[in-house]
Amino acid sequence: METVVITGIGLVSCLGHDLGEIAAALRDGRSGIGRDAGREALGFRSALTGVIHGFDPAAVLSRKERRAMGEPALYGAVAALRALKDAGLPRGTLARPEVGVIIGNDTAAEATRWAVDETRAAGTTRTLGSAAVVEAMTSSPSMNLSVLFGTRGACWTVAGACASGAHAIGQAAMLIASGQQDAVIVGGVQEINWAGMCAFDGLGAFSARAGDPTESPRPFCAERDGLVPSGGGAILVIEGLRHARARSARIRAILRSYAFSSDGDHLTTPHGDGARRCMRRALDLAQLSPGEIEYVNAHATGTVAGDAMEAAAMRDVFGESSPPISSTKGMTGHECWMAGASEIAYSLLMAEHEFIAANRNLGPIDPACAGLDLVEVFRPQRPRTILSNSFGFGGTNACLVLEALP
Amino acid sequence: MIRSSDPARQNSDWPTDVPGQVSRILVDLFELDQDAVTPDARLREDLKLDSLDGVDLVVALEKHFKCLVEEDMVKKLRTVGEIHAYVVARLASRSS
Repeated sequence: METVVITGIGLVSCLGHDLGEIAAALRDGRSGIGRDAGREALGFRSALTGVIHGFDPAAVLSRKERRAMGEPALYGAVAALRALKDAGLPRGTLARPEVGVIIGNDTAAEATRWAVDETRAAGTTRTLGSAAVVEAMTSSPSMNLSVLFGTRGACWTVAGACASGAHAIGQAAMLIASGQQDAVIVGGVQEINWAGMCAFDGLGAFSARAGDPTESPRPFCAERDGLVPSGGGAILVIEGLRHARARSARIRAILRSYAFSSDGDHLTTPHGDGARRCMRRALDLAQLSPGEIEYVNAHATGTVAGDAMEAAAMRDVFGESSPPISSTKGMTGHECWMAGASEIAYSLLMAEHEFIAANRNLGPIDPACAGLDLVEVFRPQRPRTILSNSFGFGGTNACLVLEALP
Repeated sequence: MIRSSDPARQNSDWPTDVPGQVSRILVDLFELDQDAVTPDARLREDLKLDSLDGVDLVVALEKHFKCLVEEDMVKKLRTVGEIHAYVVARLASRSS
């Protein structure tokens, strides 16, 4: 089996655009959360959201490249350009059957809302134009990226709820490990607009905490009251080790394992057994004992049930030797479809800059989440072996284990 | 995510003549250099527009001029000047 390595990362995040800027935000515990007055006017239960500033896709993509890109594809395309640059992989080398695109995404809500509203208002579909159909497809990001870069291999989108990005990385890794692809542009995207979040808000899962928006969400905290929706794009370049070495690429990390499981139990409430099995399977596949993990990037979103479930599962898996654990969602909010990919990127930035990010807004730890090494203040230590958890609605679970290289 | 819109509602410098309005729609919708959109400019060769752009041009013209634009006719047009003439004729036939 071919060893799978990560050679490039690119982000469009509420923490910033430049990797150094994002690393500094993670180290300093800065929040990317704000309040959207438009959501209050629409009757949302919560107006809290991740806010992306200074996003200008027209600066790097031509009109024709952008014309069939909705918000998710735009985030993905800009993040992918950044990832390719980080990987030192020229666009001109991608037009081969051995190079593919796999993206985690689970909605195209705003594009669909626009097409439906326009059709009703105009009384015809004549006014929808050429791009509406492509924009309104969940696979819009992967098809747009494949056309943008001319890749000739894998081209599809993985929809696995809030584990979409992690499942996409795992699937791409399997294609590389089995020799079917040399390199895959892979990751996750998440639209941040109100249409993409209104149904989630209706479920009552969002934090409705009043006051300073940056004080939400609060993963693992006794005072947590729900997640804060967020989004953007997180793209990685992953390659076979031989392919990366042949072009003398900088290798950021070895992807030691990908494991998946499902709860098969409840549509929106996590069970815990699936998470436990998934973490243990990921450790087995990585041939690591629990005590060898040096950092866990937790899924913890700030919901009462989800954080307690994950904490219990981690106590079972790690026993008395809890590794340092943090949820970066205290800073970013829940980047949903993108989170499984963005949290790999955030973890690798920690490794590169030799620190472990703290749990922002931790406050008093919930007794249900106690018994773990929940990081309260950033630690100046480089995590080498990293486990990243992603758990989604429907009980879909994904765990990735990385070995970050100096 | 480039939607056809009606810039006349947004800009005070909106042209008053129909050919000027057509050219302005082309400039705004396809992010073209205003100086390149001359009557002699060829849609494919000079302005690099393609069949998908043709679909969006029909939408923009229909929305702005509030008239039915025949897609089959627009596909046959080769230059900016031919679009000018087509829209002027279309509006004249509507008013008559």
